[in-house]
Amino acid sequence: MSTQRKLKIGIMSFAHLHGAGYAGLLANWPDVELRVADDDPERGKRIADRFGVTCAPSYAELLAWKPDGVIVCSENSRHRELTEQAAAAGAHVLSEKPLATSLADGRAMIEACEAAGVRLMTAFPMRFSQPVIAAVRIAQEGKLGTIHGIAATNPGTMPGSWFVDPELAGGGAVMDHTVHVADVMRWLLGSEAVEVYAQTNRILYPDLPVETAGTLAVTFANGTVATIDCSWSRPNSYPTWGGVTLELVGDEGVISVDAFAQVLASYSDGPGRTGGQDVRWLPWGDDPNAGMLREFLSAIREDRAPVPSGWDGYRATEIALAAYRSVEAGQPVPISTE
Amino acid sequence: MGVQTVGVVGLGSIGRIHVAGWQRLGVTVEGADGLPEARERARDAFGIEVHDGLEALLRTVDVIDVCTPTDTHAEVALAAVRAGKHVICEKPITRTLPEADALISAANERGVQLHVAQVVRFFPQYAAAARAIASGRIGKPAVLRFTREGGMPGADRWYHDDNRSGGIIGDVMIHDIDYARWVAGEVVRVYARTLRNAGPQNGATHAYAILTHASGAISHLTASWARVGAPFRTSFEIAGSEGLLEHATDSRPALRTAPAELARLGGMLLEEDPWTAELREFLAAINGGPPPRVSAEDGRAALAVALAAIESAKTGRAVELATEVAAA
Repeated sequence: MSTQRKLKIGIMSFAHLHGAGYAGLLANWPDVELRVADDDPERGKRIADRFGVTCAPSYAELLAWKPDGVIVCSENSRHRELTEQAAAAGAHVLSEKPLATSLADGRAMIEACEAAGVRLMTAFPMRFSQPVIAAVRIAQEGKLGTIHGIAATNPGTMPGSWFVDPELAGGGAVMDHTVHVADVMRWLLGSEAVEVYAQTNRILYPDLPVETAGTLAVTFANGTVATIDCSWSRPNSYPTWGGVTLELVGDEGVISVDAFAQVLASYSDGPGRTGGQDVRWLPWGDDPNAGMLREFLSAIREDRAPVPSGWDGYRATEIALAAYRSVEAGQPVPISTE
Repeated sequence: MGVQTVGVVGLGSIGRIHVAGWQRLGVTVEGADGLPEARERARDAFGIEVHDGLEALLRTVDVIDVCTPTDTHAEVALAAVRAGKHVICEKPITRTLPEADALISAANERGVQLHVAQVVRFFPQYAAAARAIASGRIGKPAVLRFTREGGMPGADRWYHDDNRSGGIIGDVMIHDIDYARWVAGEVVRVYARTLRNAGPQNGATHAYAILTHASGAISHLTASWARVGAPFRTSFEIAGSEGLLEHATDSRPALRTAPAELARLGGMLLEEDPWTAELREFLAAINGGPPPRVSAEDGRAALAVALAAIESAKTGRAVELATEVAAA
């Protein structure tokens, strides 16, 4: 293993907070050479310095370094342009979720990568969560019988910044938090969504220009009915950023999975007991982001399509966009899968 | 050229876990056990070559992994050391302190590595708490509570024979004794009570101990075989001068299922189980890597505390630990 060539990986933009997390992992992996670039040069430099990696002065110069793969962590609406640039430079792309803010952009990203002969992966780390993997395996082995219903949640704290800018984010809580569990559902069921009903509101953080809470009901082609809570409903004092849960109801069994249950409770008064109240859940399970990045690297090394793919990102985005149509209509709306 | 082949001596419950771990690490494993049914079971489950004793293994393997009953650790491990093999020894290191001392000196003299499998340090929730403490999140540890509770081993098992296993303290509580030493430092005094005698040798099946650490910190330990009919559980609560850490294996399960047995199909919900992680670290050390997070001297010190707890339970008096133990 130690003899294999180092992969050159670039990170384009740190607008999404996950970018710094990916940099922290990749900077320590011996089989990776990491460089980054950011259209906010100060932010890029700060994060690059923290992990001791090179910050290229522009995306063009990062791509001129000929990275094997890049991770696009820009604002949602800019995934397309950065993906197109990376593909044109011959780099495989891992795009932060949601894949895009419109289906046209999502399709353009997929087509740009196909045309350039590079792979496109969507950042859905829940595919690499050990508790989720176990639940999906048990369900796919038929141990629950036919799955009739799924109740899923992906609540979080309100992220602020560009995440609440409808232009850059493509929406609010629905755009931010629908796609992770929607992707797990598609993977688990092997079926596509055909209809979506959604309700949203702005009671939490009423001054923001986007919805801050929402609940969806999704009907899949195989008949399974699934609900998703995508709300920014966790207060700032919550012990962690949020969470992911799914309850799968089959005719032979039920599984409830809590993807972020592997935590210690930590209460700290700070040095000399001078801090404020600091209650946190410290994770001790495997980091799903690490599994996701390893899949991206392995797919590049093995010259195969990564999972989840660009199409997986597209289909999950379709569900989030249908939710907005449903909110508008006040009724369920169909998704017509081409 | 690193380690190619490991010989696991003793193919009972922990031996089979280690065989599976070695196989995950890509190491060739051979096994030995005096019981034909244990040999057959391991051969069928893992496809490994099995022998009826240590001698045959010593001819073919680079490392001996001792997973026999506790009272035989010293004899098996010493024979392996004398044959020039690196040795991994299941906890407790040995049944008695003179045996532990003889084994450690023999390994030093022969220039082979000796590792003691105190696996709790490799459970990710325990490792995360140790990291949080080292990073200063809770200040200086002051009051620590640990529990380790399961059902009874089969009535005919050697675990019930205190002379062989050290009983509930020597076999079970020693896990948390080692961990308490790791995070709160050396132990200088022990008071323990055992109760609920029920084994065929009439050994205790439940024990409490109160450890006093050199820092003044107090650890309260519960070890039990009394939790019959319920899943095995462990918990810890570590209170320091600036904070608190809490964890219990059953407080927030990542999988809940109906029927309840389905959850077992999920396994440990970890990419790598703690036993494999432990063997990986020992293997790396033997192949020239850094020393593992637990040393043979740690294994000896945990045994010293466990034996003092057993003595305290017998006499009803607190037992001071000799300073040479504390210094070891």
